[in-house]
Amino acid sequence: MASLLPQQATPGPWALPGLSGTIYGAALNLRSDLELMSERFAAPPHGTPPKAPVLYLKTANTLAMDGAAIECPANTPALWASVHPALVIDRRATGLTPANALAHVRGVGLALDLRAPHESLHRPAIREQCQDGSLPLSSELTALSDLGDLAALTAWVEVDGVRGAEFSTANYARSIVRLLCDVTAFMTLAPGDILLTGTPHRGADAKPGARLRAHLSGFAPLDVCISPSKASA
Amino acid sequence: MKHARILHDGAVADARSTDGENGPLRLADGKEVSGREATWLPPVIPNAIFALGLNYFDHAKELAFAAPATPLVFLKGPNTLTGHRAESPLPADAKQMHPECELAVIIGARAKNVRAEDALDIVAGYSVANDYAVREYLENYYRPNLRVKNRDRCTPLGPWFVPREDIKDPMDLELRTTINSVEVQRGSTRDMIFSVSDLIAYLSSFMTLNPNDIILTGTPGGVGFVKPGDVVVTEIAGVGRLENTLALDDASSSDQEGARK
Repeated sequence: MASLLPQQATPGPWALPGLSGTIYGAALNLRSDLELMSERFAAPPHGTPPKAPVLYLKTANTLAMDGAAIECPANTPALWASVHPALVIDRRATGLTPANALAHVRGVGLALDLRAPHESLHRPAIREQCQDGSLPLSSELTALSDLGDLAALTAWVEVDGVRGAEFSTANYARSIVRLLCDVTAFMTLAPGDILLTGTPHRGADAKPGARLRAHLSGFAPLDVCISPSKASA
Repeated sequence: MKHARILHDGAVADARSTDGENGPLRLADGKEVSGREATWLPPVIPNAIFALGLNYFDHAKELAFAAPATPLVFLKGPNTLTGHRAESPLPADAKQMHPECELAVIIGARAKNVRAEDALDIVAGYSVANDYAVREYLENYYRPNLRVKNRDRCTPLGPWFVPREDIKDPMDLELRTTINSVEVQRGSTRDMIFSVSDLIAYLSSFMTLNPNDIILTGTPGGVGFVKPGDVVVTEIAGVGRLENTLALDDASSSDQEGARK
């Protein structure tokens, strides 16, 4: 498997404040989640199912490296942990089409998205999603050409050696190409930006002390652990 | 001393001024450029951009929402920033795009768990923002959603970075918005639900804030819809007068923006 090294001026996590791209994540991109939640979506506060891609941001403080210990926030019994394929944008991407979308992608990383459980999807969940270190990223990218069928990637998280539920990108409501087109229809992605393409809404439970190993087809696994909150209870 | 970033001779230049935005801007090499002739950029290169929904008592009433118990915070990407006197794209089918005058707070230090009483110590300075919204694109998922609030060049910022020490009290500033010189918003930062200090304490309680993080602190009441060609001015006393013009963007439409299944 070939790997492409991301360009960066200084060592450390790939993206540093000032030099970094912006990290966007796609939520509710698994058909199984959308089906499960369809009754909820028909009721207040939602009313109808989502039309445009449901997106969130992970701020730069969330970046962490393979091997990191990530502090569990205070008053949070466990975090949810799940994997996204992480597209790294190579060229300015506006109004992409299915024909040209993938040409704007430098490569794909493995992102482990840690967040405090939140059931409500009504308002942005900044507090739950933007904790320090809550997005460990693989230190190498995999070229698209080495990944094969983007609609056949599988991912799962092992928690303390126990394999959790797996998902496949075959289950995406918006394919990776479709997502790139629909996001760039209204906003430009810049070189170095990262687009997390979709993960189950509910992740594996990761309590303080847990050792996590994140898997994604075509990638070496990524290992992190969850450390207890430093704040007094 | 106010700071600005402009384009000069094809390159980005830092400029300083003790004057208005049509006055002389002094560059690092001592050269002076007229503010009237300059191409203005956002005065700060952002790290994270936080924005507040429903952070003024009268605006919450206007939107028929109860004042939130915790700050309603959302995030924006840097693609959305544009400078003073720029044009912002108005989508062809948008009838409900409206400006929102906001005090922008620029963080100056890396910090976590900042107490409200110490919060202004980590502020580097202030600017004016116009957090345009396109209401018809609102959806009830992570609302306000990115299609409303993260559009390219739809958040003017500037003209100035005003250092913290030049603003006596950020919680006593008048805000005003006009569309073609007609007032559509007037308020005061006194009416914020969560103060600048409250917001810094809240955010830093669960994440590390970094230099050049920007907090757009919300907008008072008054919703005025814009048309192509409209000139919008958002101003905050002592911080600046930020001008923007709307230009029709006929490349965008609901059809093209992933709003279909």
